[in-house]
Amino acid sequence: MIKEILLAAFVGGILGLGITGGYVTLQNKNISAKDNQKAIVTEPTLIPTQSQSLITTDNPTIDSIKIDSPEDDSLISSSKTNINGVTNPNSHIIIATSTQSFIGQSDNQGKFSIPVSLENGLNIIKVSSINQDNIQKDTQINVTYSTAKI
Amino acid sequence: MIVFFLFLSIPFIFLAPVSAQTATPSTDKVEDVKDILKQIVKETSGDNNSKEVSKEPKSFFGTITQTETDQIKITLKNQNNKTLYITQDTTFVNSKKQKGKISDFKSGQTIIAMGYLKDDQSLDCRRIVYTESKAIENINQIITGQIVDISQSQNSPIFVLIPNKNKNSQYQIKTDAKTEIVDLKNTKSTTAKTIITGKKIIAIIQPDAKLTNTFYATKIINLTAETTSNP
Repeated sequence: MIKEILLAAFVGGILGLGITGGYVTLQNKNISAKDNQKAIVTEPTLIPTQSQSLITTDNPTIDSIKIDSPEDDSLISSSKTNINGVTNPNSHIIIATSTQSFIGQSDNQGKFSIPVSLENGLNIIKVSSINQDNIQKDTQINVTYSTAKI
Repeated sequence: MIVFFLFLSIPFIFLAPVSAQTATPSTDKVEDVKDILKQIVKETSGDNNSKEVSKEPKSFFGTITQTETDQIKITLKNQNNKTLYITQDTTFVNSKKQKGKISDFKSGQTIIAMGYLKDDQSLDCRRIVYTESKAIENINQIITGQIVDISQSQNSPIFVLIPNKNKNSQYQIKTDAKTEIVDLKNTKSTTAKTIITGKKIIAIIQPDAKLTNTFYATKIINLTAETTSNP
C-alpha cells in the first residue's frame, strides 16, 4: 500500500513537473516571437547630429531658386497674383514678364512672396535671384490668366 | 515505466511545434491585402479610363501636330507631347478671336489649351485659344554684372557689361530716356549715379531689333548702396 502511494506521488510529481516545464517553455517562446516581430515592424529612427538636420524642406541653404506657387502651367482667373518661392536667404529677386518687371527680396529663411500683374493670356514669367555673393540663379514658369469659365 | 517516459516527453511534445514557429513580417501581407483591395475597388468602380486628377485648372501652350475628331496632339516648348481630349463642352477660339470649331485648327498652329489634367497627364480640354507664338514670347533677360566701359550715343549711354555668370562674355547695352533706372528699393535713380564704370548692376535687357549683338535695357537696378563711395 505504501509502495502504491509513493508510486502515485512520484508519478504525480513527474506529471506536474512535465506540465509546468512545458507551459513555462511555451510562454518563453511566445515572448521571444513577439519581440522578434516588433524588431521587424519597428522602423529605424533618424537621430540628427550637430551638422545634420532632419528638416529638408525650406532649406535656407538651397543653392537654386524654386517657385512654390503658382505652379508651372497653371491657369488663374485674377490679373494679380503673388510669386511665392524659396532661394538663398536675403537674395534680391527680380521678376520679368514680357511687359513688366518686379523687384523683391527673400527673407532670412530664403522665402519670398512678390506681387505681380499678369497680361491676359499666357505669361512667361522669368524669375532670378541674386545672392549676397552676386551669384545669379534663374527659373521660369508659365502662368495663364483667363477669366473664361473652365 | 512506459507511462513514466510518456510523462517525461510531454514538454518535448509541446515544444516541437512551437520551436518551428518564427516571427514573420506581417506588414508585407497587410500591404498585399491593401493592393488587392485597391484593385477590387478600381475594377468595381466601372471603368479603367484615365480620370481627372488635378483640382486646379491647367494651361499648356504648344504647336499642333495632329488633329482628330475627339483629340488634338500638341508639342510643348520642352518638346514633350500632350494629348488634349475634346468633348462637347470644349470651347474653341479661332485666329479671328471668334468662337470656332475643331476643324478651324490645323497642324503647325500654336494654341493655348486649358482644362484639367488626367492621371495619364493628358488634358481634359475645356477651352482652346489660337495664339501667335510671338504674342506671348518673353524676350527679356535678367543679367547681373559689372559695367566695364561706357560710351555716349545721342545723349544716351551705351555700356558694356560683363555678366557674373560668364566672365568671358560681354553684353553691349543701349539705353534711352525710357530706360528705367532704380535702386534696390525700386526708387528712381539717375544715369549719372548708376551707369558708371565698375558699378555692379542688374539689367533687364532685350535684343535690339536694329543692331545685332546689342541689347536694349528696359530697367537697370543699381546693386551698390548709395552711401558707398564710387570708384
